[in-house]
Amino acid sequence: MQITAPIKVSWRLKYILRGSFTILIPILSVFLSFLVGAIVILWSGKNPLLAYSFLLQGAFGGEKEIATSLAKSIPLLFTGLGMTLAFRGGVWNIGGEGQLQLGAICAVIVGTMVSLPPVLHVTLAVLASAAGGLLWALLPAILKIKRNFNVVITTILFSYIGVLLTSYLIGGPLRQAGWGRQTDPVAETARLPILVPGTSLHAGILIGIACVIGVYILLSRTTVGYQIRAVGLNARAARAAGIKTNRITLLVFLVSGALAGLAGSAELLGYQYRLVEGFSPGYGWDGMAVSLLGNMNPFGTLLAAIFFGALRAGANTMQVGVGIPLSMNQLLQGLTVLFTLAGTVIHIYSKKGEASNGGS
Amino acid sequence: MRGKNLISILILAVLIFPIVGCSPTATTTPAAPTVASAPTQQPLKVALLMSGPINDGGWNQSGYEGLMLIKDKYSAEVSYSENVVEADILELIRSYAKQGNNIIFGHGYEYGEALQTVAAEYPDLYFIQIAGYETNGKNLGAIESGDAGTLGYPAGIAAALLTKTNKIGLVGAVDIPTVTNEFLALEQAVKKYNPNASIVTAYTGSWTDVESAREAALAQISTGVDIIVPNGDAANVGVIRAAQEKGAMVIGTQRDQMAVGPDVVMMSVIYPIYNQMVNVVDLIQKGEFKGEFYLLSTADGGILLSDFNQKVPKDIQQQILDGFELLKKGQIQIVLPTAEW
Repeated sequence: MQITAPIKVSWRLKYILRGSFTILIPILSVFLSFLVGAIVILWSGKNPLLAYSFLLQGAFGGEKEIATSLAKSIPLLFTGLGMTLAFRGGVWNIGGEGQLQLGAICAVIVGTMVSLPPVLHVTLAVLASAAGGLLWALLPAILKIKRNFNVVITTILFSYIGVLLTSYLIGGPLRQAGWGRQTDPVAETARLPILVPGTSLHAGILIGIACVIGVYILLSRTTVGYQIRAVGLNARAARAAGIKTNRITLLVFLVSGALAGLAGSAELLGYQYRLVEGFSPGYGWDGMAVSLLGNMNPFGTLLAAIFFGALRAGANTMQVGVGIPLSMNQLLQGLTVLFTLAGTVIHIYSKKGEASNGGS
Repeated sequence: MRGKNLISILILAVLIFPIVGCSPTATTTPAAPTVASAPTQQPLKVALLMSGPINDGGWNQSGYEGLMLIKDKYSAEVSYSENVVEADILELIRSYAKQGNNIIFGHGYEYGEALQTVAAEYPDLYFIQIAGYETNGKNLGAIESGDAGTLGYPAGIAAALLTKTNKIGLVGAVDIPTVTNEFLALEQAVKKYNPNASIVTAYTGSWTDVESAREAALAQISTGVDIIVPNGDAANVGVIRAAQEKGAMVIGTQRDQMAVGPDVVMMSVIYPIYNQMVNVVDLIQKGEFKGEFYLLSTADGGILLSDFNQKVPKDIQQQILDGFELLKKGQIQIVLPTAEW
């Protein structure tokens, strides 16, 4: 055990390099996805520079544009954060879409059928949505813990049930009298206030940031968080070390479900106000991309959500300005995730190589 | 464990990619260079938002046609967004307003609230809700074509007179009032013209699912139905296909569907909302627009009948035309549930 100074320095350097690599991968993958996107735009006969200038202008061109970008990031922030927590705890809960739907259903029930004073009403509606998401995560959690069902499959299937449940409710029990397939709008008292007038940025962003800080503290500053990470890294080792892994799995499942449920209430109480068919354009699924791009880190998730929100807001402007399909946004989003994954894989392999080289 | 994580990540990657929703597209068609308008004059800019594809052979295609008529008549610079999802409606309308589109159409009731919001933010621009009731007395108006029930009624006369098995099938997309009211009117026509005929109704739940509509029509035909009235936009194609397979008849709705099934479509009842779109732009250009609800009544051409298929006997053709004339003159009262808009 004789450590000389030069070795120490190079070890530190490596550590710093590795740290910067985790930040470098997302940035590089975003850059690459835009590069490939430009080729596709060029291919479709449009000018990519003009298109991207509209995209940028639509995303960050002014106070209102920034507010819109932030507004578009809110549901993604919640679903992404839910997945970040779940993934860190080794729970592949990718059923955010269904949990979001249940959250929205509970929020719209409280928002339309209960009458309460302003602050209390919206608080109750938000809490109801968290409860709805939590409930929708509870069943897959029980199936996992008691019967060891594959979480990826159960949560996906529960998502479809959630979407269909919404479809049933807006066509039946919750349908607005005399109208098409939609519910009544939630009462004024149950709405999240708009923060920047003339835009759709609402107070949901504040709840979202509070949740980011909450998840960060939970994961990094508490014993439970340490246990969550331990179970996420190696459940068997964690169990051997005396951690009650089932309890941790249940906790992670429920909290991530509640976070996805909050996405439903944020979109419903802050923006759309009523439940309709196609209420969520896949925010639950997009949450996976957000979490992965954010390196499964709470603050990374926040940044990634803002990036995808800006992409969506910018894509709307790009669409109107240059006539490029909004699916371009989905293409860019998909490419970003693909490159992030590729980067992560390379990163893991390089680490493995290191381990086998330096292990002797 | 690393290897296991890797596999999980790859599974996730595979899962993420198929999960992309429908792909909304927007297209800007620059106005053709014109000689008529003064060179200094800014071209009229008109935008249209639709929740479905422009080639659905029904509702959205009619809106797109209206936009093209406006483009030709006013040498307007037109743009549109199709397959718009609920979550983007407000921002897209704001974007079109910000880009200085003078007139912005929202094609359906789902655009009402967002149009109301943005109309207040941009008092100098005009906003039109198609087939809705959202108005503000200033720069937001609503348009509709045909009085309620007058699309279904003539279709009912035709079905009642043409059926040989006395069994009529209705295949709708979604049971919203604009569809259910027409079917109710249709039933009233059937009761009057052929009291012995019975009606079976099916809803597929989708405006675009051709296969479900086909299945529903096949099921109806198997119970003895020999004439079907579809009202489901793109899904109408499925009904026509089923009729072709089993040798049934179809009364087209919304648009003239003779071209889709010349052997089975006996006639179509046409909903020319595109004409009213042009009319409302006329009003705006003349400065007579007051932000109200503008109905192109059936008497003024709000509902049209297509040409008849040669297979329709002349006397039945005459009865359908006579019945439609009575309807236009207001001599037929269609009883519908009061709408709670």
